[in-house]
Amino acid sequence: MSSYIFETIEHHKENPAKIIVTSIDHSDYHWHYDYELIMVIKGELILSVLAESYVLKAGDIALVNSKEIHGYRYSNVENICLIVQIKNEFFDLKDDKNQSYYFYLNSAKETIKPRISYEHFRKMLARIGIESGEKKQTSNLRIKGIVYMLISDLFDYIPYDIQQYANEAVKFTDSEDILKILQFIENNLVSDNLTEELCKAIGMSEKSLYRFLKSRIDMTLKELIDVTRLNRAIYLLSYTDKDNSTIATECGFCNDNTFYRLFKKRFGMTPLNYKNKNPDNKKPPRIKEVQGYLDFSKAEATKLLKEYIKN
Amino acid sequence: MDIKGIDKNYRLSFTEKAERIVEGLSLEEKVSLMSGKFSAIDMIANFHCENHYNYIPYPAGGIEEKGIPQVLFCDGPRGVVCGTGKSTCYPVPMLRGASFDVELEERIGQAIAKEVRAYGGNLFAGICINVPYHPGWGRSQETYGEEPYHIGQMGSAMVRGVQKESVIPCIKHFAFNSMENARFNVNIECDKRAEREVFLPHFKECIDNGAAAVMTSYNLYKGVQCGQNEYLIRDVLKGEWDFDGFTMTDFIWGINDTVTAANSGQDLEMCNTYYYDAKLVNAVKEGKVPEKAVDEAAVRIVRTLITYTQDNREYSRELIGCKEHISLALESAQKGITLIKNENKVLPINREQVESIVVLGRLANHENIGDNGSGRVYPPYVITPLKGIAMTAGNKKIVYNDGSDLEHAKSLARKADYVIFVVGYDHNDEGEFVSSDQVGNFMDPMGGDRTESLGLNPEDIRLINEVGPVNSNSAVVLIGGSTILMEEWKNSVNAILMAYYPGMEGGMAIGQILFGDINPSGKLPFVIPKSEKDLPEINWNTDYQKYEYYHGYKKLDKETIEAAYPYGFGLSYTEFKISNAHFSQKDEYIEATCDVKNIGDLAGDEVIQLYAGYSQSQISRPVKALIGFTRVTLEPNQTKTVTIRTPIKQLMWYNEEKRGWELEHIIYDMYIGTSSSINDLIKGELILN
Repeated sequence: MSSYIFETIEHHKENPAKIIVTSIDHSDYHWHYDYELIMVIKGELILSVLAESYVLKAGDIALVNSKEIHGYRYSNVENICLIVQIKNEFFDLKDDKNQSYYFYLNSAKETIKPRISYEHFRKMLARIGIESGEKKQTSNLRIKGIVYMLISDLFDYIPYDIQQYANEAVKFTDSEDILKILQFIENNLVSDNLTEELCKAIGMSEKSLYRFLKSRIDMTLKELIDVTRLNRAIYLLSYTDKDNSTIATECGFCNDNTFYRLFKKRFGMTPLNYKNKNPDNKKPPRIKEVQGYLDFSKAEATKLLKEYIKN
Repeated sequence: MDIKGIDKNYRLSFTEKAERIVEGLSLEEKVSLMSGKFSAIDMIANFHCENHYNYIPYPAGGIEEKGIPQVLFCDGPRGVVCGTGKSTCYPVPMLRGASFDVELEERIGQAIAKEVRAYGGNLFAGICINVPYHPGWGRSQETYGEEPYHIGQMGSAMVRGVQKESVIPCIKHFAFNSMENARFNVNIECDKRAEREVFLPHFKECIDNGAAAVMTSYNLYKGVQCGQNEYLIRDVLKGEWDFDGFTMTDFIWGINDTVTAANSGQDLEMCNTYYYDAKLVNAVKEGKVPEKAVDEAAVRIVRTLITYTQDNREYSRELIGCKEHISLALESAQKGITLIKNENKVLPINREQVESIVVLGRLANHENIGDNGSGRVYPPYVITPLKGIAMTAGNKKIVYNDGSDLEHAKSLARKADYVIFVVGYDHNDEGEFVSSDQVGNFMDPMGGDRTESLGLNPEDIRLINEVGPVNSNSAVVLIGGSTILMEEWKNSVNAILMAYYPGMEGGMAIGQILFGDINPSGKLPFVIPKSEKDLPEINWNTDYQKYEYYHGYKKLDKETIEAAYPYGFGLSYTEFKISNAHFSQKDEYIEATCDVKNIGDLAGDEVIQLYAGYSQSQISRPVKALIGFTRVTLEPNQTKTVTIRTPIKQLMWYNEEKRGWELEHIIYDMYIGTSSSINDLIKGELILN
């Protein structure tokens, strides 16, 4: 049910990055080894990184870290986005396979600020986007150059943590296990004994599952299940006319009150307020219709990207 | 031939042979034996290609056709400097001193000597035994501590270990070399008692234990450069102490006058020759240097070299950085790292109960094995504190941040079950210093003495004080070569672990101690005062410095100043109880005994220390001075009776008027216990027969 709807520009294999200009509809939680920079060129996009969601508006930029589980969702405003996916091997400064870098770059979040303006990165990304649309022979070279500059600027100006693992075995099973857990929860939201079944499915005791989640994503299983249920609820509120009680049941909440309480706590409004605030959000994703629309968006995208450079 | 038995007597048995060889040499040949062969140009060329200082053993002297081998010089002390990506890098001597484990130091010495042999070398010059008069001395990391008795014991163990593989043990820097930035120009003065009781006794101890070469220092003593100081070399070392080996200069700038140097008894100019060679030949021909001075030097050099090259054992290159040596480096770090504070027993970390661990601080992700001076070793790898913590934490992701953004660091700390700060120094903050006007740019001119402060860098202090209180499960791991003042921040965290520069396996040992796989047992080989004012006054940028009789814990004791953490102090995860102390004289020895009981739940090691006190003395003497120590391992509830035997002559003082050592006939105070603090000692008396 999930996929990006995008135009890909395949570069030569040597290129450090994959560059995509696209309109994003909806993408389920997923992860990849690449670091992903996203810039909203037009409209709005909701980025979810595990339990947290951000509305990215035109001009916002965010970095999704390697192996970070994330998803995108269409907001009520049509979007055009630029995505730059950079191979994680370019982030291995110390030639240490047991370390990975976790950058804090998200202009919609702003709790940790970069040591240089967002404008700097916005311009770089825009340039990459423009070059990727050009068919000049020098474009690839120029893109490479800017991507390398971008990577060095990330290290120099963006605060980051390092995640250190004892060995590769620990490091690489992590995201796969977390994703497996997430998928199981998503597919079994209404189950009566979700915890028990999950433990069975992934072969962990409840205690070790608790420890695993706490150490990897700093959440308890209950928190994770609640977040997943609420994300499903938002989807149903946005795209269907189902009433609150039905939604509560379909999301696996034991009763309506729990649904209201948790929803309000998390989003600061009741489900009804949310629905009323987003009255137009009633169309489910229309994948097919987007096809012929991309050429238009590409021309528009290039025009908009050139504006970002001017500023 | 018993090659393990190299000692002075064995060396002297080659005197006749050496004399015969020297008799057959021309003046020029004899002088050539006194000359280093690695020119400054070679050295600079060496630095400018991918190699580094002492990449290969540096040659000196040697005449093949006359059967005289070359000196092949290998530097240290934290391993063998030669090669790149090969040598075992041990913890720095300051950490090894903190182990108070002479048997372990002897094994390290032997392992280092094997690597020297495998590189083709025959002399190990990494036995640095200077007393850091002030802990700001940038090269404090290269010596074993502040206490001359303890330095003498540790240095002697290294000498014995190196001898076992037929490598010439070379001690340095003779003498009074306890300032770095001013080392080329500073003139040191001190009174006779300080000279004999504080700055020289450990050199004598190492020579009595078989040291066969002595490197002189750059600085001056009483107006004369130590490399050509007749009083130090001819009168004290070769005269009073009857040293049979040879001396060598420190490199390039160790002497500055042919005639003075040769007449002072300086045997070998290193690592190239400028003042010897043709200049020395001429000086002899002109009658300014008697030929017998050259003969004496040649005999000493030849005798030593032929003694040590009797051994034809082959040493495979595979010995360099071998598994056995690397595990010795780990063992050393495990036994030297010192637990200084552990409130509410926040350490060890229970890895079953702790899920999220955050590591903060610039130095956690830094391969930090000490300074970048002549002692820099190039190991195949270094386990950083961060890696070591990840490797010992169990199946966990460890989150690291350098801590430069305090708010972010706080938010990480708040969410974590445990926070570990790794702070302190690296080669930029302290170490060997070569000013650019001396040698161009061929060594990293950073480091030097800690002239500004003995505290942490302001960023580290801010980090600990701001973020420490956020999470009570917090520990500081300190990296540094010597005393680091802690008053500004020590109340912001519950645990402090001094890791010194713990070598290539250091991160592993840090992790093992944090998680309780290893019970810490190191003891501070220096006092940590509350304020720098409690230490001797020193001027780092000077051409004159007086060293007073009292420094370190003896100075604080004498002035009844309480230390933040006393000399010899270190905690364990278990507890020990000392009882039944007895002090008696047995012939020429003091015999001290006590019972040590492990009253905690874990097996552990304790270092039992014996101090002599001189409250009845008619002259000014230390309140307490270390005269013996031993390390003991105890299972929970186990009790052992520990005996420390130490020669009565350790109680002597140097009478300047009578120019000799004297024993006072007084009642001596005796203390035995687990640190130099009176709270950790049982006091008794000793009346000599």
